[in-house]
Amino acid sequence: MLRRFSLFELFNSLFLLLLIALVVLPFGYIFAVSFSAPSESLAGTFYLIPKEWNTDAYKYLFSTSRFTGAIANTVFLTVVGTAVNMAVSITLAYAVSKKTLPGRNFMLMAIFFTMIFHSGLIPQYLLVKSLGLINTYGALILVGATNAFTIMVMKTFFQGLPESLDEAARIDGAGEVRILLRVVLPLSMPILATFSLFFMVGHWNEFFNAIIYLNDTSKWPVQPLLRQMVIIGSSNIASEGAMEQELEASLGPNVKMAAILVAMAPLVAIYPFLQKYFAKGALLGSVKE
Amino acid sequence: MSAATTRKRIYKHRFFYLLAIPGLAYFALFHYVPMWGLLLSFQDYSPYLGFLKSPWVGLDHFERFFSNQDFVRLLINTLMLSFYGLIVYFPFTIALALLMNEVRWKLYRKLAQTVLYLPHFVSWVIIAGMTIIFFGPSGIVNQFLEQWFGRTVPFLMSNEWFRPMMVLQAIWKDAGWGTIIFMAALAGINPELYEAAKVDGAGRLRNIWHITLPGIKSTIVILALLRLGSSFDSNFLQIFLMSNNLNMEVSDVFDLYVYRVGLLQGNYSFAIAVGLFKSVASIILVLAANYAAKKLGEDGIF
Amino acid sequence: MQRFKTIRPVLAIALSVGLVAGCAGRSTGSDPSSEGAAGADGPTTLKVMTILYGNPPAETNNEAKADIEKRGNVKLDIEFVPADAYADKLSVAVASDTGYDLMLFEGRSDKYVNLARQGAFHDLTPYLKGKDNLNYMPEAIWKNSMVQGKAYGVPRPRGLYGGGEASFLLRKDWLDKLNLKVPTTLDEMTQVLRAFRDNDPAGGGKTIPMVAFARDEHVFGATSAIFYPFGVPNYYTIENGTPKYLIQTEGYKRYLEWLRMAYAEKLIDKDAPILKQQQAREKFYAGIAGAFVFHVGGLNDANYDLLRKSAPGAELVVVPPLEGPAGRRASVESGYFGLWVIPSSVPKAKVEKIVEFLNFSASEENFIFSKTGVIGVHSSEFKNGIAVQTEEQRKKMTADVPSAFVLENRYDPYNYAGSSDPEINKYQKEMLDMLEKVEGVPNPFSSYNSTTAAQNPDHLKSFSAVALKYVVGEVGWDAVQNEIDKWEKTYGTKILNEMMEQYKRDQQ
Repeated sequence: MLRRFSLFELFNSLFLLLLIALVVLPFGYIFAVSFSAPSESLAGTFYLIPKEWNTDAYKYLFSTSRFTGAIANTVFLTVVGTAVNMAVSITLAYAVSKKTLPGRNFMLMAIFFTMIFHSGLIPQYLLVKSLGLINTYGALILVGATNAFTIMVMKTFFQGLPESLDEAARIDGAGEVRILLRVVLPLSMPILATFSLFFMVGHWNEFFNAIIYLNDTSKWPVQPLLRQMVIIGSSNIASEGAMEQELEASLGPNVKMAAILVAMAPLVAIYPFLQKYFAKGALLGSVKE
Repeated sequence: MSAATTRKRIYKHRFFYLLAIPGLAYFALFHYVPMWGLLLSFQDYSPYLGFLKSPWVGLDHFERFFSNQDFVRLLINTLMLSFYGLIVYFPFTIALALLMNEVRWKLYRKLAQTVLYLPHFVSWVIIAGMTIIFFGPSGIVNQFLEQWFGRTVPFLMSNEWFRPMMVLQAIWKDAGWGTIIFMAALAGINPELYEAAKVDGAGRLRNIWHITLPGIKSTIVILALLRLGSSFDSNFLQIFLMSNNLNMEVSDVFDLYVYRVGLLQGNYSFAIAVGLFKSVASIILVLAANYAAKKLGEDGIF
Repeated sequence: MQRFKTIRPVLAIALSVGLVAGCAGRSTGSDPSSEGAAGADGPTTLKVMTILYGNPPAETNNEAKADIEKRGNVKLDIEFVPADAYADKLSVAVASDTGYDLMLFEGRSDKYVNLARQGAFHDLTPYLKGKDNLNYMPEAIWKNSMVQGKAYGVPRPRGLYGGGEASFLLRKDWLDKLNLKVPTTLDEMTQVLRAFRDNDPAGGGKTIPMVAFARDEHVFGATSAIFYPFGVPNYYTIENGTPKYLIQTEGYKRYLEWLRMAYAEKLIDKDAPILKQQQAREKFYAGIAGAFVFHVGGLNDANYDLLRKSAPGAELVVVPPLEGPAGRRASVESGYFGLWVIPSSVPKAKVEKIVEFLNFSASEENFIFSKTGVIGVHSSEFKNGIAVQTEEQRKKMTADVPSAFVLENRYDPYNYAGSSDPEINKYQKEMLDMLEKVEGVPNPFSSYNSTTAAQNPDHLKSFSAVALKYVVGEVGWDAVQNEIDKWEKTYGTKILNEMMEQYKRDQQ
């Protein structure tokens, strides 16, 4: 269906193009650095095409035998972890979205407080230890099973669904389980896709908790491994000054950049599949009142 | 309300209580059980001596923290950065989501969405490095400025430019990512509303004002409230990388201060104390905002 | 409100459960009989926590590990923790008594000192008798690491001199191109830097005469080779019985003046105030800078290779300490990097075995092992202090990382001379020998701690900011003097007195 381009649409497209360029340009740089020898990038100048294409960084990253193991670990963690995340989050968020639920306000307050009050690492660690979860994936999956932000936002979305749908289904004789599974969830696909993505990314990028709770390097997911491989040439916060002396500048920025791209790649690949859930009014419109 | 009626209501909602059990159990176990950690702020906690044997110092840490001559400055710096985030980054993200939503050509829209969220995955270390390349004293922008205008701008070495640079970085890294939630919200708006409006001859701006924005209003409100809840926090890594002695007057925030104190002594208790202060201050802020939101007819957090 | 009535008991229960769990974390002492020793002569199992640099060593088929375990009669259960999260992992390990026999502390920080005083670690002083390899390291290193005269940890020795920022590294090829000789005085060095600036040997206007990075009260880091000749002390000094901190000395004023001049004349990298150490180093090895204060290790393979790739034909020369108003002086380091501690929960019998293993790993035999691994597997032979390797062997060494299992290294004054090129290696060793003879500048208070400083870690923050502003030309010296006076009044005098007291006590 042909339409005239309005002025607004023209400016909008140009503006977005500008933004895209502002993103692509630095990424081009990251990409170029990852494919060039450190000698080119160390000087700190900006370039988009390497003078000499060099795949050393990638060869190095994939040279460790631990890579496949780490990826497998991460996949496991991401799949199981996200499943747990969604299960726990959806159930609680939906329950708490019912305004008539007695005790709801108390629950919401209690949940929200956890977003503000933090007990610190040591008490949490001691708890995980007393549960016998040290050096297990259970620690990683359970410690972050859900969070206040997710619950709050999800509940808002559930609240936004028209009540008439619930009632109609109930009149038809559907039980609560049915309503949840057949009516609410399908209509909430956008927000569910959103949080699945958030959780997946969170698991994929898991670093700190993995270091703290896992003792075997063979259990490491991808991020700790990548960071370790890159660390010789990276600016390490915790070791400002003292430890820098130990580190030889044997790896260059190309490895750092390559590590980022490698870590990003799977997530970038997933996003297009989730995009369709964000399509405009794809679902709600299909439900007739 | 009598006990009997309450019991009846509880029974009526039994399904939902059942549903809520895993989540509530999680929060109870992993967040409330360790809460005793907050008490460490009243001790001089040593990981070796443990909670039972570490000496109690009462409000010492808090006194030290409040009487620090830099306290007010830290407070202002922290809040200003959060404030900038709230009035620049946050609306920008919403606007971006709306603009992307207005693109007719599906392929272009998908392209924009996918590309714009990529920077989220770039670590702050890299972003800091690139910022220096672009905006450093001998960076590209300054080279350009020097050539054409004969002077350079201390983007990274002055107080005036620090906050704008922080917001710029945040926008570059996370604006795209931040639109995802709004996209989900936009997806939930009934297209029939737009159809009806078209029949009435409504233009684009009208649509946005009367249909789109109200449609995502609850999302905006809840996100704004949640943002307020972290006003006293800062993005430690980003600020650590970009702060230096020339912009210290505006870049020194609570989290950086705690890091310095914590790192030097392993003074765990002090860090918890500052954290507790931040938490209490945040709660007050959010309660106030929540109350205001409800007065305006919105669903608050609770 | 009714709701809140129920909250209180609920919260109380949650808190009590938490407290119980929390207290349980610190176990009531591990059962001595079950720890480690599998019988009188069987291998002792050592559970170790240490920092990991780079790739973790292979867990299976690790021939290096198997070899040292056999020779040392131990079983090593080592947990390698990335430096990023090390401090937290350490806190958590100490708090929950996770059964480590040996842990690495990053250094003699306040945290370490406090824990030592609280009895978290064994006092190892009595166990050190007769441990020749450990006692082989200079007395100074032990002294630097002790707490109240006792050795609560075994330091991992590095060089006492020659490391850190001991020497200026200069681009010899640039000197040659401009017909300059290696400078011997500060003034000559300044001239060399000016020549670099004027002649742009890197081309394209990219030349940076000297790189530096931001560092608090020194304003810039990678400057030791400059400030020592000016008379700036190694943090503290005692002049005529009066203790002084570096910012109060005359030498410091001269040093800052030089920095200000150098920065204004563009002899120092414009970006220095915003750079971190690693970035400054990267710039030098990118071939666009002429001078960098580092140490002889800057000529090691990896560094040199990198430099030569960016600037073929680049050659580095190590500049002997320059002569300045205070003569020729060089830095003296703490001499160690990391302290091995044994948690006090470890039974005494095992402590003996652990110290034995540390002594064993510091032996000559393991010194060689850390460089060669197993001969025949990780390298072919050990010639002139350098391991000869085939490509295969190099790969195996990268996977197994023999040096990671030599927990305690042997003291080696040539520690920093790591080049595998015999010529360069010889040169590095010569430079180190030369440095040994130069007057070192020790820190008289290196093994003391000040409570005031500990409670106010930021006491130099505002001073540092003003000092930097002075160097970049934004304020005059009065502002700096103002800050010095302010610091003296608020913190300085107290800190100095505290340190001086401990010093006097030790002198008796």
